[in-house]
Formats: sequence, structure tokens, C-alpha cells
Amino acid sequence: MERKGMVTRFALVSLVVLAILGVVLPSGARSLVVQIMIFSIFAMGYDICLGYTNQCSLGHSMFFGAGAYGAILSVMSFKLGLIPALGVALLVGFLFSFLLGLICVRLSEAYFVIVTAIISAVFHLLAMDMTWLTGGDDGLSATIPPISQRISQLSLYNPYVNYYFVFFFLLMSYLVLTRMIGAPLGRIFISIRENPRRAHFLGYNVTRYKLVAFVLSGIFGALSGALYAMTLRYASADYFSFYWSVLPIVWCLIGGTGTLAGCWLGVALMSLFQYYVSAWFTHYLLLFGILILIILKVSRRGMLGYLTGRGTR
Amino acid sequence: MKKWAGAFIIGLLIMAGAGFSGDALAQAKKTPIKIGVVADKTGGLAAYGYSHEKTIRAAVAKINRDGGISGRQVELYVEDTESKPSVGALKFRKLVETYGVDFVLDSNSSGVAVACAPVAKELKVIYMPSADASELWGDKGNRYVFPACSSVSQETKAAARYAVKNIGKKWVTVVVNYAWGWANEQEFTRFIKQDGGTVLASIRVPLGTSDWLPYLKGKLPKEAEAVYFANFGSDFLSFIRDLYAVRPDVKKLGAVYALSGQDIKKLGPAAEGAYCMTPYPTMLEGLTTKSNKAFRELINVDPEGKEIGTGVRFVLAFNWAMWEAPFELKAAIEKSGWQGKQDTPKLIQALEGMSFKNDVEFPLGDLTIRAEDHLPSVGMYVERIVNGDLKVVSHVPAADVTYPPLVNHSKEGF
Amino acid sequence: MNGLIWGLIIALIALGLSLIFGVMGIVNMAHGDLYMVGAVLAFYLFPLLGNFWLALLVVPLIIAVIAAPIERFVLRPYEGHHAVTMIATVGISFILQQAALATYGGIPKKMPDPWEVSFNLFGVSYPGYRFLIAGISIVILAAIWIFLYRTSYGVLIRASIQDQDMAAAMGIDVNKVLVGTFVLGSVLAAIGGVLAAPITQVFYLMGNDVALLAFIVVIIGGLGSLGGTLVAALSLCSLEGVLSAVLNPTQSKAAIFVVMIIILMIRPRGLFGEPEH
Repeated sequence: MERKGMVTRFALVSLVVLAILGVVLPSGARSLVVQIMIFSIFAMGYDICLGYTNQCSLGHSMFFGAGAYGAILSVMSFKLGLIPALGVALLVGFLFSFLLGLICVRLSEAYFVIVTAIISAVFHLLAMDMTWLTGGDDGLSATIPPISQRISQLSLYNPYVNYYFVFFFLLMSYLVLTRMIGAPLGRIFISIRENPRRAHFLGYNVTRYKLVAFVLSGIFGALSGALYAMTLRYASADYFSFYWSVLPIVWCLIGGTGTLAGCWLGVALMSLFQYYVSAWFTHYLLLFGILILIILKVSRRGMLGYLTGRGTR
Repeated sequence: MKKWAGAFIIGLLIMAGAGFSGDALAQAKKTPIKIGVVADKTGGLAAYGYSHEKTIRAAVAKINRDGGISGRQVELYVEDTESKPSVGALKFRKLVETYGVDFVLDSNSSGVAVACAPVAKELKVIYMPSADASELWGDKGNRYVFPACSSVSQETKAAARYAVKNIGKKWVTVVVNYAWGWANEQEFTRFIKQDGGTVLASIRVPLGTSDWLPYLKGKLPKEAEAVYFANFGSDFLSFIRDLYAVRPDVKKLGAVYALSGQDIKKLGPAAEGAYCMTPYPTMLEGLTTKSNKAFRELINVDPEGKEIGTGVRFVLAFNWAMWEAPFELKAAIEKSGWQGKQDTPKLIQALEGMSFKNDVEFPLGDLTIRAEDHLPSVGMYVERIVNGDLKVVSHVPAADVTYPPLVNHSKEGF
Repeated sequence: MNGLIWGLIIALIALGLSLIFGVMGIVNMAHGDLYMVGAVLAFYLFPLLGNFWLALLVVPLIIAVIAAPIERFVLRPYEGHHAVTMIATVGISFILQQAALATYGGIPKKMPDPWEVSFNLFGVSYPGYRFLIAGISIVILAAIWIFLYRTSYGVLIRASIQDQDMAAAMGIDVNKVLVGTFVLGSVLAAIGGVLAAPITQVFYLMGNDVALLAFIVVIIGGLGSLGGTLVAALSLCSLEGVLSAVLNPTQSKAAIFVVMIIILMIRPRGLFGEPEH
């Protein structure tokens, strides 16, 4: 399919560009691109949920925060190395998304949206309250150990190492998710999105596949939360707030749902706006809100959807 | 002919010499010093960001009018934290990495300050927030962090000291249910015990509660003489109204910030007689020194605390800290001979233990920055609402509110 | 008692949301901000008009002028695509919040009391206007009930909630119903803001606290059920007050959420929700 080919080409070109930017960019812009890459992982995972199985969750901040704290607490309290800490974060993300998924995935559309929001709000509340564990909204800051105990130079405190460490995970996430979507699993997701009843009649356990998609998106949300905490060397209860649940949806819809890489555009656009426009216009969100409306008006499928489909459905 | 040639050559040499020295002079012309600000311009703390930004701009304008720092003009770069720690940390990096600032000031949010503190150390940039969480002078701070305001420990120690002497010995604490409220509750309880008072009950109320009756009715022991409260904004309004409905006789002492931005005249009988702590008197008449008058004129604030021209009520609790911070930097830069980033360790050593004299630049009074934990020596004022007006009734001197340092940064490396 | 007054205001807001949610299937992320706009307008109009009660009449008109074009040009094109509509409302939320910040400012301000009388009840002194607010809320809720259940317009709206396609097939001008519903829902939120303004402080982010609670009330009460929304609003707000007497604030808030989840597990359509057809 021509469209799919264009999306893949876009993704590969972006990855090559990102690989080069790491050495070429000045340090300020480099830090921004690291953040864009981290959020892109989050957005890709969320696209599995929203774009591929049509589950509009408002609770993904829970996984983002859980991943962040899983990593930071592993480093601070359990004195784990960096890679094991990420492993813990992924495990925590898996557990949270599995449990939340069990409760929510079977709910019908509108209820799913609200219940995920409510449960996520509970966790935000708990995180704010349990300061002994989370530091509340003041948060916890930690010293990050080097990637390998033997090579101490390979530490995230080196901006290049930090950049390529995150890039590595973006690359891996993209490859893993593309593989999954290309496999029969992906096609089942899409058929569930297009017509759940028909998928059901074809013999697929729709709820189970929706759960799989949900858990996948939760794992990648946790991964991005962990990378975020490691890059900022900081985690706070704020990571559980509603803001982080709304952002992935904005990213995906602006960039293009159901494309995996389209959301990178959404991430980039929002991050660039926040970084640059806020300096000359404090109320940049107002402009961004107008931009959202314009983009959605021009193409319901977001920017990449428009570029690859020329607006045709 | 030779005479003319000689004169011509000498003339040429003189001109060349003048040209070279002119060039050297141009190179000696100073590059600006860059100061960054992570202000809370939007989000929950938007009111504070507004006053802080204006105050810092006024301070920098004065510095530049007076000839700059070491003859170098100051350039200011202001970024918005959106009252979020993660955005604050991002903007902190942006200020240092993209704009190349050498120093960063502000955020009122303890969360932002905690997030930025390790970044300051990593990027080797001096950071002066205006957040009062005591851990910033403890395990969440580091040698590059010089919070310019008072700490919750100082504020509550002063409150407890004044409380036991002048208000009563049996207290109840009522705080909003998050880190700042809990810090006030715990520290006040600790200090009042030291001074011979007791806390009979500790009540916590969620942020944004409009109805405080269920939390207050029947929860205040009869023997309680007074209430120490930590809340502000609409929470304060609901609290003061409902407390008056439940126990109109009980005395009230508020933490720093409790009255911020309020129009005292509109508070009514519920607030009459309430005390409040503040490092800086809201009304000009609370501190009529020449330096304070000059300071308020320079930040364009009327005797009541409102911005002249817009009528916006400045949140003055920590404005003074953001005013003094650039001047602290100026004095330390000039004393240590700081020229660039490589000299920052020298600058830090100069700041640690440095003293400043009461002046328009330090309107609150003489100030010393403690070497071990960078705590500024600040006293506390006690304000009271009397007949609908806010009056200063007492001052607890800096020596009475200080406490042993929790860390010793001066033992740290750079 | 105050829990009940606040519950009535939440009921108004939630009712507006329920109508928008029920008829249009839209998760309106800007609903809380319409509440905020109502409060901000009340803040400005009160000294201008000299009369708080006039503000109650003027604000709905202003909101209608804002809401109708939003529905027509922003929301209607995405009909049926729920995620897209939701993000469109997020965009509107950004615009409303920043516009308020830019004009009204970032400083929370208090409105003067509309009625400076106090009553003494059970040894506790209550401001008079709280009763007025309660009274007005009840009157408005009753008026909405009459509108929805006793007028032909109401029948149109309820029919559209039940089954939009059927309603269109029966010749109902669905477009007019959509605009009308959205305007009505937004006006209810804004009136909630006007009524709440004297009790709380007016701040450009005040919508955020209210929005989630309104959604919860709608879900618990059951989509499309006016009575359910009312019951849910009143009971949730009073329950929180009762719980806080025994539990600490965090525990009581978490307990409320847990109660909600249990209710949803037992009755997935909410307490009084319409069964799925």
C-alpha cells in the first residue's frame, strides 16, 4: 500500500536524521530532541491503544509515572544499575497496565475513557500523598549510575551518551512495534478497530486482544517515563497528573493516528512550540489550541495522515 | 624633504599605534553577563511569576543604569515554568544551553527548585530559587544552589516563638494537604514544643476545598486557644469564614503566604484579629526605612502593595528575595573578580559567608549567607488584621529564627 | 449542608455535561473552562451591572454566542469521531484558559458577596446568599426538568439521546438539536460558574477541579438520566463531607473513587443509566 510505504519511509528518514542530529546540534537543541525522542516512545505506545484498537484511554499518566518511579526508586533505594532499573520500570508498567486493563478494557467506549481517567486520578492522589515514597509534588532527584559499572565514562551525564541511549530505545521500540503491527497480531488489532463485532464473529476474543494492546501501550509508556526520569534525574508526583494523560492523545491526533511514526510529528510540533514559542509569547498554548483546530479541520487523520493520504479516507 | 618624510612616517606610526590600541580597546569592551529566570508565568503559581518577573527586571534595570556588573551590562532571559517541575527543568537547561546564561533565578515552586537543583550542579551554574522548602538547604540542595528567600523552618520557628509568648500555649494546626502544608505542620509542632507550647490536634484539608466545616466542626478541642494555619487563596477565604462560624473566639496565626494577594478590607469580621507571618511587610508603613521606600518605588508598588498603573496586587512575600538576588550576585562577582564560567567556584566561595548591608539593594536589612547551607539570615515580621487594616505588630530577629545547618556544602567539591 | 449546596452546583454542571455527552457523544474537555468563563464573566459583570442577579441573565446570552459557533464549526465536522472531537475540545480548552489568563490575569480574586445577610443555624452562622444559590440552583434544575420532560423540545433532545439515527429518520432536524443541546449544556456549566463565583475564588484554572468531578457524576448517575445526575452529584458531595469526618482527606477522596468503581462494576451503566439497546 502506497500510504504505508510513505509512512515507513518517513520513519526511516526521521531515524537517520535523528542519528545525525545527535552530533550536529548545539547542546540546547540537543536536549530538546532527547525529550522529543522520549515522548515519541510514549506516543507510539499510545498509538497502539488509540490508533490501532480505538481505545481512547485517559489514564496513561499512570504508566508514565509508574515507569519513572520504578526507575528512580530502583536507582536510589535499591542501588540498581541503570539497565536493571529500566527493567524494573518495564515490569512495573506491565503490572499496572495489566491490572488497569483487566478492569477497563471490557467497558464500552465512553465509560472506558472516564474510568481510566478516574483510576489514574486516584493514583495521582496517592502519589501526592505518599511523600515518603514519591516525594510528593516536590519530587525526588537522584544520581544516575553509569550504563556499565566497568566503563564509567558511559554515563548519562555525558550529553552524547544520553542522546544515543535514548535514540537506541526509540529505534528498538519502533522496530519492535512495527514488527508486531506487521504480524498477524497487528492485523487483528486493525480489524478490531474497524469492526469489533465482525472480529468477534470471526472468532477472535476481542477483549483479550484489546487487553494485549492496552498492556503494550502501558509498557512503552512506562519505558518513556523511566527514560524521562533518568534524563531529568528527577521524578515527581506531577508525572501522574492528568496533563500527561492528555498529551499522548494530542500528539497522536495531531501527528496521525494508526501510523506509529506519525505521532512523532505531533510530539515534535508541540515540543517545539513549548520550547520556542513560549519565549516570545507566554500564551503559546492559545496559538497551539488554534493550531490543533486547524490541523484537525484540514485532516481528521492528523498531519501525517494528510500528507500520505492526501485527505482521502 | 627628509623632515617631511620623517614627520609623515612618525604620523603613520602614531596612527597605526592609535589604530591598534583602538582595536585593543574594542576587544576590552565588555561582553554582557547573562542571567536567566525560570518564572512561573502560567499555571497554578501564575500570580507569583508575574510579580517576581517584574521585580527582577526592575533590579536588572537598576544595575544596568548604575553601570552594570564589573562594567558589564546584564542581559535577562525569562522563561516560563508553567508551574510544572518538568517544564521548569527543561527551561533551565534551555537557558544555560541555548542562551548561555551564567546564573539562573527564581521559581516559587519547590517542585521546580528540586528538579532544577541537580541540573544546576551538572551544568555548573549558580541557581537562586525563591522556594522555601527546607530541604533546599538540606539534602535536596547542593553547592550551586543559593535559595534567596527564607525557609519554612525559619518561618515556623518565628511563628512558634511569637505564638507562645503572645498568643497562647495550646494550639491546633490546620494545613492544606500537600508538601508545603505538611512541612508547616511538622515544623511548627516541633518548634512550639521547644518553646513550651503544645499542639492538640493536626487537621489536614485537601487543596481546593470550598467547605471547611466538616474538617473544623467538632474537631477543635475546647481547650485550644489558637489555630496555626497554612493555606492561601480561595482555601484561606473558605477556611477563615468557616473557622469563624465554628469558633469565633479562637485566635489565628497564619503561615507565610496565607494572606498573599488578599484585599484585607474585604475580609470582614471573620478575619479580624488574625495574625500572619511574613518575611516582608505588605504595607509600606510596616517598614518605613529609606531603603524600603526606595525599593518599593523602584518595583512600582504603592503603599498597599498594589502595582501602580494596573492595580494588580503583588505577592510580596518573596519579591524581596528576587530583588536582592541579582545584587548578591553583583557584589560577589565584583568581590571575587569573576569573569566567566571558569571562575564560578571562586564566586561560590565568595558568596558563602558573604554579608550585605541594608540599602535600597537590600531593603529588608543586613543579610548574611551562611557558608554551610547557604541559608540567608532573615527575620520574620508578624502582621495582624486590626480594624480591617494590616499592621505589623512584631518582628522576630534573624538570630532567633536560625537553626543548625542540616548539611555542610562548603565541604563539597565543585 | 455546604456539601449539598456545592452538590447542587455540580449537578448543574454535570447535567450540562450529560446532555452534551448523551446527545452528542462528546467528551467535552472544555466543559470545566466554560464554568470558569461563567465565573470570570460574573466577576466583571457584577460591578458593571451593579446587580448579581442580572449577571445570571446576561451570562447565558454571552455563552450562547460563544458556544453556538463552536458547535457548528468545530465540533459538528467531526461527528462520530470521538477521539478527534475530544482533542478539538482540548484545543478549545487551551484557547479559553489562555484567553482568561491574558485578560483576567493569573491572580485568583474574590467576588463581593451578592447578599450581605447571615443566618444563624444550629449554632453556626451561614451567609445568606448560600441559601439563595441553593434556591436558584433548585429552580434552574426544576426548569430544566420541565423543559426536558414536558415540552416538545425536550422530547426532541431525549429522543436524540436515545437514538440519534432513529430521531433523524423520524424527521427531527438533528442539527438544530445538536446546536441547541450544546448551547444548553454550555450555559448550564457557565451558570454553575456564576453561582459558584461568590463561594469560591475566581481563577483561570478553576475549571480543572470541577471537570473531573462532573464527569464522575455523569458516569455514576448514568448517561442521559437527569435524576441520576442529580442524585449522584448530591450524594458524592455530601459523602465526601461525611467521610472526611472519619478519614483523612486523601483517604476519603480515594474512598470516593473506590465507591465509584464498585458502582460501575455492579451497574456498568451507572445508577440510573439507560440500558443498552
